[in-house]
Amino acid sequence: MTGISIENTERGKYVVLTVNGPINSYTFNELQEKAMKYAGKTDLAIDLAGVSSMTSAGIGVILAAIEDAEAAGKRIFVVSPSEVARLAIESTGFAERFPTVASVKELPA
Amino acid sequence: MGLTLFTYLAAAIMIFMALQKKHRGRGPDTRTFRLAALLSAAYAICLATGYFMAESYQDTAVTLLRWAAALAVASYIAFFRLSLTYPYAKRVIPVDIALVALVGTVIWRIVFTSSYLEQVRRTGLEYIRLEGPEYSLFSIAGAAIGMLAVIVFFARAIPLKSRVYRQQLFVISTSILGSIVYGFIIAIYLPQHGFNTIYPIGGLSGLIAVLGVNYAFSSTRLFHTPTVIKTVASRLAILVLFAAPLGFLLGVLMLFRLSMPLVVLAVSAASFLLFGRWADTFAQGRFGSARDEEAREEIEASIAHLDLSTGREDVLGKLAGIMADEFGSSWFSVLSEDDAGGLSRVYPGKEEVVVAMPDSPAIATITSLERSIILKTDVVADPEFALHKTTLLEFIESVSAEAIILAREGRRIVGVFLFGPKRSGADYDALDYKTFQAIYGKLFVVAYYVRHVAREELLDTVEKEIGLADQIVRSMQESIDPIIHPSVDASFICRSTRQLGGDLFDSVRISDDRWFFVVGDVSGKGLNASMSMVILKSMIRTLLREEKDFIKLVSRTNTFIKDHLPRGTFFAGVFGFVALDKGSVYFLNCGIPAIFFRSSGLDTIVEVQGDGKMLGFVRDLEPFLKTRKLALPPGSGLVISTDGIIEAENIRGERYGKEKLVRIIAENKGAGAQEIVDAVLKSANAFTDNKLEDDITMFAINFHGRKEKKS
Repeated sequence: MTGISIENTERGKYVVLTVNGPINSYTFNELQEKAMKYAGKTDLAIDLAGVSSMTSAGIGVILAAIEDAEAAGKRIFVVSPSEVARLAIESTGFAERFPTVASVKELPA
Repeated sequence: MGLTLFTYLAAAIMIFMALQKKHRGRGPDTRTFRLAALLSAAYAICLATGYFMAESYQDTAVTLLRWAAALAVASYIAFFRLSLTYPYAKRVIPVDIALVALVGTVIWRIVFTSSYLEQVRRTGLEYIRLEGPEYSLFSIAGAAIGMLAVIVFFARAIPLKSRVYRQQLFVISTSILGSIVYGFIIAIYLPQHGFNTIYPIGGLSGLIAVLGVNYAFSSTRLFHTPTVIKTVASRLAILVLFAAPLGFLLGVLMLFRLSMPLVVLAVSAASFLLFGRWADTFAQGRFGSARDEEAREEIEASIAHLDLSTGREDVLGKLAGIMADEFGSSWFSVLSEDDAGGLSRVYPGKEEVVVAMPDSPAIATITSLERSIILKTDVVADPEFALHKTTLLEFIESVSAEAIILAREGRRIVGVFLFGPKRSGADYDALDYKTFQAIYGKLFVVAYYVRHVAREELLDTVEKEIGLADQIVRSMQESIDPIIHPSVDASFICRSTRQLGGDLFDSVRISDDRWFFVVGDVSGKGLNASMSMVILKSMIRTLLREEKDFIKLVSRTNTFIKDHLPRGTFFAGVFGFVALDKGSVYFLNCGIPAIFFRSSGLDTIVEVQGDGKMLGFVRDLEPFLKTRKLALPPGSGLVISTDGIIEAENIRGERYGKEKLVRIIAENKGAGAQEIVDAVLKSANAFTDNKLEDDITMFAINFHGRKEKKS
């Protein structure tokens, strides 16, 4: 089973989680752990450019992070989602619920 | 002139409150409140208009201002009338006649003579009034009647046994006192000392009393003092950090006449729209509900982490400990539905004790209630319970509880959680109610576990931990009304890759020829997803009983997910309604990826699901929902699948996809529904080398044409 890697960097006020690999029922726990650590506590960006597949488990993690951030008044962005990640987000029918920027350079200051 | 706008706005608010429907059930008291509110609104309108016209139309202004004074006194008389009977809504006709006569006298003396007001004149902001000889008498008499209402409310509150009624009376008493003090200062004291500029906002005095009574009428729970303090602190923060600077800025603009009143109002409204939410979030985060929410999440997590494998006694013992810590309850008890349909106490105590027989009035009453969380104070003070008040209070008294939570599945009560008096002697309050709402879903799972799984004899035969939870899920999944009808054959599969999952199928028989069904997947994996599925399935069945409108049913399900299931939970699926008598199926696609229609006439397979909106992403889903209708001619069929099959990947990373699914359906066009489901599953397993990674839910239905169902 191909694994997932999540790199954690800082950019201005944001913590950027860069995800590579598939987000599915076997790998989502790692993303969940890191996303929950920062969501709602600081501004957060989740870079999905390197995501090779994404199931509903991944959508659930990101939605929970967005709701945590909204409740705490913090900012959160999805960065440059890969084609499969974008399709997974669009399949919800509520792509607008996922604030998205094309690259980390476009994160609002 | 800008100030008069505020007075008109206050009048509009008072009229709105007077006409609200939510005060139904209080009989004559509601009518009295409405009268008082409308009189207060009329007073505000007459005052503001009279002040406005005093510049050019003095005679009309005098008449209006006299009416304003008479209406103000009349409104206090109405509040006084309310003070005599509230909350017991009694008729006292002689008193009513006397008070009407008094109002008539007041109107005659104030409006139709010059004893109260002789003349007024206004030049710009300079307002001069020529008072009549009885001006002070009527002013003091009006305030005195209001004060009398304050004293009567206060005095009647003290001996009341019901704390919530006592609280209501204190709130009303205080708000009327606030109204009198405000009105006296703005409309009488300041003008008499030469300060007339803010005279037109004297009309706002009635609003204070109306707001107070309106709140008291709808408040059936006690204040939670720390919450009140936090709310006041957060409002003060908004006032100091947001409203005051904005007001100062606008004041400066007005002072230098740089802005028209309407522009000021527009700027104020725009500022609230732009910054109001931010200010509220900021204040709540530091003083208000955000902290309470954290505490609620902690208790939810504590219940979710209960180890169900340790046995009923142990699970309920730990739950009782959590409840005692969180709510300060002196005791906690659990009733469970017994095999006869009654309620038996299963905790505390090793032996089950029957508390209510299946045909008892208590069972009939609690199954008919729409609410699942009931505080004793609600039953006493909320008119919504008026119909069942006696039976409910008898039941609550018989079990000595102060709060009860009903875990219900459709018409059945699966379990009841009883909370004894608080150790502090206080009543359960509004904050407790919110916490009960937050943990309801978790408590439901415990109730279901107690009812269906936690039999001691089962403990020896099932696996621990996941095995036990799996029992709950299996029990729920098997609890459906199968679609059995000569016109169709139907089959489904719900399979989790890890024993536990959020896959959901349910069908409910509506009539001989009609079934409701839902197919989908609750997000997440393992125990959490399956618990959410259990709760959601039960809730859909409950809503199905209450809600006749298909779209509203789905919308309320969405709201339930947002409000009661863990953050990040969503549901992708389809809600459907099979009407075999009409040969049609109606459905609402909520993010199901595949609905394939097999047409007999064209011998083709068509994808029909369209775009769907999943549940759990937005609070108000209703605008996004659209029901679709599909005719089912004889020989046609439907296959509905969640993403587990379509997105299954083989070792080379290739997806199973819709094309393969369509091919298998086409290859099995003459097969029964069960054979189609089996064929798809077999094909997907072969494709993935028996390594399907996601939960699978699939439903197939073949329509044979209308046939009479044999009785």
